[in-house]
Amino acid sequence: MLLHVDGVHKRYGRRVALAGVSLTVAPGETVALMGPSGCGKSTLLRCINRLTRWDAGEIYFDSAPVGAMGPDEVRRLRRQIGFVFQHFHLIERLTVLDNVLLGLVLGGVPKEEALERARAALARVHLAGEERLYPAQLSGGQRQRVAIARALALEPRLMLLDEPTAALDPILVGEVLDVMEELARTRSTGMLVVTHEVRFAMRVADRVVLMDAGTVVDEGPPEEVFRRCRSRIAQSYARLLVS
Amino acid sequence: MSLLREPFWREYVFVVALTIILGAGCAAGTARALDAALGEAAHSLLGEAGQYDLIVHVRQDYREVAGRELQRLLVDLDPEVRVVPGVIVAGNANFLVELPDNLLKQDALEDVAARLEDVPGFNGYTWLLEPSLSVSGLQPALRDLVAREAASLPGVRAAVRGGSSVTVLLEHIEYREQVAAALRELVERRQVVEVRLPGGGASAPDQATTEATDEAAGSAVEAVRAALAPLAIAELTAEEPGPGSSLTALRGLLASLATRVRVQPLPETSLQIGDRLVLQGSAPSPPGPGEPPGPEHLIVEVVGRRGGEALGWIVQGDAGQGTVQTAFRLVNGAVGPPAGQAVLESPRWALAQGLTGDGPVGQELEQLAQIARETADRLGDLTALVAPEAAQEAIEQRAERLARALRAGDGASAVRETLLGVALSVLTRKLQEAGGAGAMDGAGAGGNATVAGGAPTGGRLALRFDVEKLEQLRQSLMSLADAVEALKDGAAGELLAGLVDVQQLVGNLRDDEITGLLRLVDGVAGGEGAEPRLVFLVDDRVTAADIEEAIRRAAGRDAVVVAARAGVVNPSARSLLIELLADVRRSIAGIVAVLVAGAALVLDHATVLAALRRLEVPPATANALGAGLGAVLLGGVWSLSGAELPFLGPAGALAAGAALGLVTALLADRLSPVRVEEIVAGQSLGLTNGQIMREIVVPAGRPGLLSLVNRWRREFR
Ligand SMILES: Nc1ncnc2c1ncn2[C@@H]1O[C@H](COP(=O)(O)OP(=O)(O)O)[C@@H](O)[C@H]1O
Ligand SMILES: [Mg+2]
Repeated sequence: MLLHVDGVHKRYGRRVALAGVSLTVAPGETVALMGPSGCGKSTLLRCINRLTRWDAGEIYFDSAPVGAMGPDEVRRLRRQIGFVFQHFHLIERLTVLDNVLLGLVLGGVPKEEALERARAALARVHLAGEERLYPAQLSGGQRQRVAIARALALEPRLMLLDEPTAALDPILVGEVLDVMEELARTRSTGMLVVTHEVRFAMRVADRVVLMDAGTVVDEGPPEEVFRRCRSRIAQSYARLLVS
Repeated sequence: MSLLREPFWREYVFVVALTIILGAGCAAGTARALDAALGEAAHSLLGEAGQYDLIVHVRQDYREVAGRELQRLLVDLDPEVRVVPGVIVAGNANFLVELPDNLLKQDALEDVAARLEDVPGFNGYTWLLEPSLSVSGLQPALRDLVAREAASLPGVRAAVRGGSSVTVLLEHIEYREQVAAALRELVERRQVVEVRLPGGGASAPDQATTEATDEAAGSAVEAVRAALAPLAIAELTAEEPGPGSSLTALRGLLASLATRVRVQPLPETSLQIGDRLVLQGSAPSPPGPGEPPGPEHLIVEVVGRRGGEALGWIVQGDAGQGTVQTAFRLVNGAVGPPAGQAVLESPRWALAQGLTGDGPVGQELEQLAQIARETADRLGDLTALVAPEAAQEAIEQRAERLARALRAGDGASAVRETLLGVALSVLTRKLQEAGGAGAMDGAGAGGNATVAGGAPTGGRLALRFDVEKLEQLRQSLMSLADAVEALKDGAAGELLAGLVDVQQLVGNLRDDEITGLLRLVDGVAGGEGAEPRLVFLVDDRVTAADIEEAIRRAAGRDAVVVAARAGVVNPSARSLLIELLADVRRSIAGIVAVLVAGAALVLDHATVLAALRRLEVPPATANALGAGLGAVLLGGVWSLSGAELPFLGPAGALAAGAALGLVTALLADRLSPVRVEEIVAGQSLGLTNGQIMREIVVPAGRPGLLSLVNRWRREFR
């Protein structure tokens, strides 16, 4: 198993964000993580690459316990896990190319190779011609694709995408979803995608995990989850699917 | 310290060190540049060292005329004197004076200083004599002593007195340390001790009474002298009259003019000091027992006793011609039983009648003429004092100023004081007239300085002064002076007329006015004449307590003892200025050090401190780091640049730096906002904190030394 989250608890003061979440992602597998706002999806993603620490339970990446990692190991972990944020988090002062190069060069990849890999990553998100531009000169969809390329360039074994289309104009959502779908089809990396796009989940995800109030309430292949509608959450997503 | 493994943090430490070195250079450089500019200004102010000997300050508006007059006065003294106009500073025009070598002697230099007084708009002078030292803060008598002692030191060319200091001109600069040490020995090893004997004697208008009380005070004074003889190096009072001496003379004069009242008490009757008596005076009828005294009755206050007689002064009314009258007690404001026979002797009456005895006739005529002129001059000043605009001042203030104006005439003779006394009395009369009838009572009540005011009860005091009458007095004084001069040509008749003129004014004084004046004089002189005051020079090992104890044992009474260091030895004016400039330089360096540390904190370190919070460094650690940084930065720049501020030592600088740093840490987010998302992005890419700092945080922060140094090691420019 590539990723194994095992009964993770997390509270912020008295507020419980995660109440014993467990899930798995296999190598090359695409999992859609869905659930109402505030149910703990982002918190879970941040725990997985140790941007946040948790209170109980354990997360295993490639069978290694993430909670026990020292600073160097955490950095190595992070280089194997690409993170795509809802709000892109690009470095404003750097060009598109430099944003993609940043993790490679500072991670010790030789200049030539880094450039090749960065350009390849940009090509995969259809931004080959825009490498000299700055983030401020790009549309939201383009920015998110740069962010995806930046994560992808590190050739991660797992991608964590936290509502990558939620901050976009509806007409720009498609281009990002297309890129993600192409990525999923290659099966080169495991993907854990937080999304509210039910059709995308139906079409692309190998499995759907439904969360509510800090726990997993339902899980399985998308058609199955949305057909049997075991949970209230599944019902509301299924209704979206019909409309 | 594992942090230092990362290149960024090593660079960071380097930047802090670089900031300190550059900052110190900047602070010291600014200070030095300013120092050079100030030195230039000082040079234009004082000339080359040793070039000029004296700087004369003159009010700016008198510049032209003062320059001419100064030139005339000094060239007159020696044609080789050179006067050069200098810069104007703070309303003062300055003239630089170069004196020929033969004038560089004590008496010649003192003569030069004395002549300066005649320069119009004169506002003081400063010796620039080089090489020199000065001793300042000297009591007048001690000043003369120090001047004598200093003059006899080896290597001293002249010891010039001026004000409360002595400027010591050296033969050669190499004597400086040696003479300074000797002078310090002279003044700093000694102290001036002032001994006051409170309640030494009551003030009295009557010469005889004064003598009687003075006798008691005198014996106490002698006892103090005897007691302090083994402790004191010298007594200073005896050598030179203090500044209040002209007031003493004035007081003596007034006392000599006052009507003398001697009361022979009835058998079985005893009169105590402070008792009040009512006399008929010039009233048509004697005081009626049981009734309040009338306005023309005399009220006498008993102020002393001699033999069986009581001595008093008149606090209400005027005795006019001397007589013998019955004295009644004044009981609760009403006339009481008879207390005795009062003998009234009016010296003024006698004076005005025949110019006999103690009047100015006995004085040398030359002197009289001169003094009459001077007094007429001073009266001009007094006229200004009572001009309509001065009428707005409170009476006490006016009396103060008046007394001060009078006191300014130092070392004057009794004759001068006579005439001043006349002027004062006329003024007081004016004050009283303006103050209304109530002033009469006030004149007797309780010897305070406001006696002339007898402040009118209620309502605003609308004082109008008869400037004309003062002018009259001035005129008659002038003509008196003319007359005295004319006497040389044999015109005796005019002199007599002039004297009569003045004596009439003297004769016009009222007794209660004189009493009021006496009390006024006592009041402004701080009870002088009433309170014996002795000044001794003692070794500085003797404490005020030792002296108090010695007096208590010898004289059996308590004395007020005030001890102060005899004086202070200073370098020359030029050296003082140079020291002052050094102070300025250190202060400027201090200010620049604070600015540098502040700028570094805000420009470089606020960014880092703000980012540290985002990198999960606990707030307490970030605050401590900020405080440490501030202390290191300010402390480092401070000590390297030789900075100094009057209120901040090196420890203070460390503390101030720490405080600045702490504030920076607390406000870091607002001083230099960091983009949190970019930091998180960096973290998610597996960058180290140092890499995040160098590539993401610092470039986005404020431009400072850190971002400059950071630039060359940065991968992404
Ligand atoms: N840094 C934080 N401090 C305090 N509470 C937080 C923080 N981050 C998230 N939470 C809380 O934890 C819960 C889960 O949040 P989140 O993981 O962002 O939910 P989701 O991504 O599913 O919308 C929410 O109630 C949220 O308010
Ligand atoms: Mg979220």
